[in-house]
Amino acid sequence: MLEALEFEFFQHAMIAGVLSAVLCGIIGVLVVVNRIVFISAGTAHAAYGGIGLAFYLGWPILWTTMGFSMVATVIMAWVIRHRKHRADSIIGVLWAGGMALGIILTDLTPGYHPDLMSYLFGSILAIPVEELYYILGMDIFVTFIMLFYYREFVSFSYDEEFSRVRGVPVDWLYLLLLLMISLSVVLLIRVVGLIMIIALLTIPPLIVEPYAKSMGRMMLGATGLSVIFAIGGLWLSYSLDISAGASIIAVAVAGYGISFLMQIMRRGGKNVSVL
Amino acid sequence: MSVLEFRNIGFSYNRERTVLKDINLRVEQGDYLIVLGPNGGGKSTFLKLLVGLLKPTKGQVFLFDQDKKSQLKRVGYLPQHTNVNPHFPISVQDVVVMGRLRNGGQYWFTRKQDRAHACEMLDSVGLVDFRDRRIGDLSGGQRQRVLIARALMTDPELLVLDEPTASIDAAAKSAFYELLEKLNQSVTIIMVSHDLSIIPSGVKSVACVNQTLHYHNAPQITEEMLIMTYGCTSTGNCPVELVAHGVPHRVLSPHHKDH
Repeated sequence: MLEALEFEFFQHAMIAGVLSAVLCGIIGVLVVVNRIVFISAGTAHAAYGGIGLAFYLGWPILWTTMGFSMVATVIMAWVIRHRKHRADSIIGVLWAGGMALGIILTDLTPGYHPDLMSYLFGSILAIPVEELYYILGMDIFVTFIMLFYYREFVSFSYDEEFSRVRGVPVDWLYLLLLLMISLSVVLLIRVVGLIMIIALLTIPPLIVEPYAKSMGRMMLGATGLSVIFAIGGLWLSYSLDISAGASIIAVAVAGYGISFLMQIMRRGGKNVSVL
Repeated sequence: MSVLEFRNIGFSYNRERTVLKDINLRVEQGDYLIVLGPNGGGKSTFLKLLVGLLKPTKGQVFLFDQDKKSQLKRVGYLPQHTNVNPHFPISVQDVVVMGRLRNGGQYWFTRKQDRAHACEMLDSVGLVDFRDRRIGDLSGGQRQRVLIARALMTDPELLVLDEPTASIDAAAKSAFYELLEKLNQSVTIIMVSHDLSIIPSGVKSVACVNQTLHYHNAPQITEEMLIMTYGCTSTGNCPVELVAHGVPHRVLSPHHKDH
């Protein structure tokens, strides 16, 4: 592990892991407590359409994908607000439709295609330096939003109806939340790939939830765990010479398993709340 | 002063399914109104129109003799608690503090005076010792009292409750009704319920909603309400439970026997 740190690419991967842990901690907690894992997964997969679009038009991949994801997210937010009983089906359509569009557009792009697998399964070891700055920028943005609107986010996440009656602008904050999710997801594609992002977002909050006294502390705890999973995963990847993204997820899943066993032992098998 | 006025209110989904029609209602200050009615009769719609979660397709809602929007901050609301994540990481005190969200200035941290006020409110519902517990660890009855404390945190002049006793046991229910009766000394209360046993515990008037609304300015159920709710008369096939509850407290008015 220590000799790996001499390589610049490995240093960048470590920094990427730590920076994305902040996003995973904050955004992941919001995804878990609001129970919008399905929407988040839909956003992640629909983002593939943006990648295909960028290939086809020769546009910069990151910005094109971000723009595409934000449009898909606004559509999803509208569907959730106005067609609630159909929302899950329509998100399913956007999910698969986005991926199909991405695949077709890359097929239609003449010439050599860069490794598409890296978008599906991540390529943290090849992360460019400028993307580290983008993730850092997103960390700062999300942290600031949380500092200023923490109480509103807690309130509408816990009880949407009460918050509406109190005059909290629930619809706008919900749209802001979905947009933050979609931007974070696009930035995290490089780290673990769009297929595995959801595990990275949900596992740390799920582990912390039974112990957290507040949403803020849950965010801190989830961020800490994400750092451990990222570093542990990179170490595993280096020592066994296996894929970094999958290693990070494997460590996270193992951590979830351990926390599950700890819960069972603590409560004597009753009321296990990590499930 | 009228606390609430519904003037010719009608509501329908997608202009097809009529839920409520021709609702006219005035609730005076100090009233304790219980809203009864069959499931699907429009009780919850009625409350959602009241607190502005739904907009009426017809008519106007007034709060405190004024346009509804600006007056909502004087209303304490206790929603039906069916869609809340039971594992949500939040302490009892933080739930109560939520009631202050739009009353004071906006701070991202909780102010000392808000926390102190939350303790007072928790004390008034008898749960101040539970303030540091997680909300999910409380029983159903305790949780409803915490939500009352949250609604009181807004210093309301009108308290609106949507089926608050739906999921709590009989003992917790009567403690809860006692609390409401006490609160009614200073606050007007409107409560949707399907529990007729509440009527003797301090309720001052009864309304029955089943598409239309029938109001009775006394803690009694009239024959008209029974017909509206159950499609039956008091001399006919009425639910036994209802009559049994009524015997010692005379929920049913005596003149029915004359028919």
